[in-house]
Amino acid sequence: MRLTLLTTLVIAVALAIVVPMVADLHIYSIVITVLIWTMFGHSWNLLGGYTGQVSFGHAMFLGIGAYTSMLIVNAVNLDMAVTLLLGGLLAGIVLLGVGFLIFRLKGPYFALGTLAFAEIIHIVARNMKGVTNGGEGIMLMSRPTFFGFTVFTKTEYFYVALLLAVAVTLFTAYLMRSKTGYTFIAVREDQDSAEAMGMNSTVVKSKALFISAFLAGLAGGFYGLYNKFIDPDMTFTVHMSIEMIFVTVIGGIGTIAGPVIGSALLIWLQDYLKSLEFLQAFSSLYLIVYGLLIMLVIVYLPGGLVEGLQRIRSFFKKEA
Amino acid sequence: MLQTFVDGLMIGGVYAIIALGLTLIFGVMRVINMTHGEFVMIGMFTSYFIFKKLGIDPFLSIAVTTLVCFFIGYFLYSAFVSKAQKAGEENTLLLTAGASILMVNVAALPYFLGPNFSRLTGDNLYWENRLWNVGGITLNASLAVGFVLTAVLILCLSIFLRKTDTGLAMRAAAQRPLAARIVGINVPFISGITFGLGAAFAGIAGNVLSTSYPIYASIGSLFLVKAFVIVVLGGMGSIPGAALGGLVLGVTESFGATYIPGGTAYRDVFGLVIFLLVLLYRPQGLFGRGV
Repeated sequence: MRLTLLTTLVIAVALAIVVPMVADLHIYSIVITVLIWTMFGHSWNLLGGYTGQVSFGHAMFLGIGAYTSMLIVNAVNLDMAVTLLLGGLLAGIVLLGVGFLIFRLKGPYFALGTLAFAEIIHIVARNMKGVTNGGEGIMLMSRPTFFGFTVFTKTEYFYVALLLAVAVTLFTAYLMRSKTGYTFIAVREDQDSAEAMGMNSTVVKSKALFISAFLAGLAGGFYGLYNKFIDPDMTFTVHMSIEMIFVTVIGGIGTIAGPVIGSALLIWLQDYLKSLEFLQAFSSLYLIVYGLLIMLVIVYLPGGLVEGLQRIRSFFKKEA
Repeated sequence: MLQTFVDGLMIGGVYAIIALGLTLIFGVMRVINMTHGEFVMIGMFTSYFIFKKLGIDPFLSIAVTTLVCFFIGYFLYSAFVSKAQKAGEENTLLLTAGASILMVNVAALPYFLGPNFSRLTGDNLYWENRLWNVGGITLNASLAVGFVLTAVLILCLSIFLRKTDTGLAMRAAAQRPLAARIVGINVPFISGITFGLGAAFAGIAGNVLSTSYPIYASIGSLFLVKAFVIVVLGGMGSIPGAALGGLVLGVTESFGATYIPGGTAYRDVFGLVIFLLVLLYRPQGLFGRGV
């Protein structure tokens, strides 16, 4: 725990100092995107990695959070700190109801069930023009504030994103060291044994779902406000859910460092591939390389990059 | 009323072919194949380009599609999926999700259609907007032929699975992979063939749909979700379940879109709601043997 705390804080302080010194708008947007996806990754990891319930519908939490925050900020411009919490809470509460139904399913059935739920909410969001303005989406109309400070430029967004990402990372690390966290892992490893030890697996999974949905809603709210525009196709799609899984699995499923490393690598990789001269001939070329790399990582490094790093470390230890 | 029902049945027949492939793959190797929709897309593309370049009828080019999809499916399985299988279900799911990104974007290269929409049209194309009138009911000609084709395919598949050595080996691999290995069945090879066969089914559906749907690189996801619904509806791994599930989904969508006010916009929701209800109350599916 202390190591995690120390590493996180060191990285965060380093980022906070170094990034504004070297950054132009482009670097800011990459770093902010990485931080946002780190949060999404932690959220998915909590349910999919630690509790073992692979969800294909995390985009619905993201979307609910994004719409809640956007609507509140546009209507009354509450402080971002409050708005994001409300978005997260709403996502958590809505999904607690869903979870009650959906936890009757296991394994691949659970994945498909969440996929179906997310698709239903996606279609409803596209058609409920009164609330979501349908496919035209919602623009951010006012300047949001965070604890009284106006947040509008990239620099300001960067600091807020950093703060949130650090908070989410530390919270997850702390949670997984608590008794609640251990029950999550127990349910993942063997649900029947966990039940036999006196844990109510549905309650445990619901807790994980609530926290996971809360984090995704919070991060989703920030994602919406940072983009200054949201529509159903950039919040509720399967694509977003899958991207969250990629970030986590490529980094290392069921680890704290996984989502951080995974999102840093994937977002950077996407940007790097996009900037390559010979891949720019056609817009879809970089996605071909991206898809191929993901396939290769999954085949040759199933534990993700964290496992890769551990292998390298143990290799050098043996040498010494 | 009857017209709505028949419309639903016709499109349901095509859904059933797609789902048949998915359920075959899931049944034998427990892989949820996220690239399945992309094989439908490949089928559409094959029939489109063969018609454009050579003027060959989409229903005749099914032979080409079958081969193309079979080999891509076989390659995908033996080069990637089989290696990720050890690490569990999530990994094969993600692997195929990555492969799906790859395939969609290869199809979106300018050598093919680029990011554009296209339709299969031509002066000498018999199927374009062709309606048959049978006893006061109008049938979309290509979907009607597709419906008959579905029936034939299901018949062939069940004979294949029951009477041929390869088919029996597939069923053995589905029931007890380890035991199948012990009695000398080459399970990885059989799995590859199954994957290719499943992909070929999706491709055939693509050929049937190519005359009545717009053709573009990312159309696969539309059919992927529907195929999931059907497969769960019928019970994962169950072939009669997939066939009937397809028809049920087609009819439900058709009725929902016609009779529920504002239903057209929510057309795709009906299927998903049935899907959830089945998942919750009968997760083994309507015909599943229990999982």
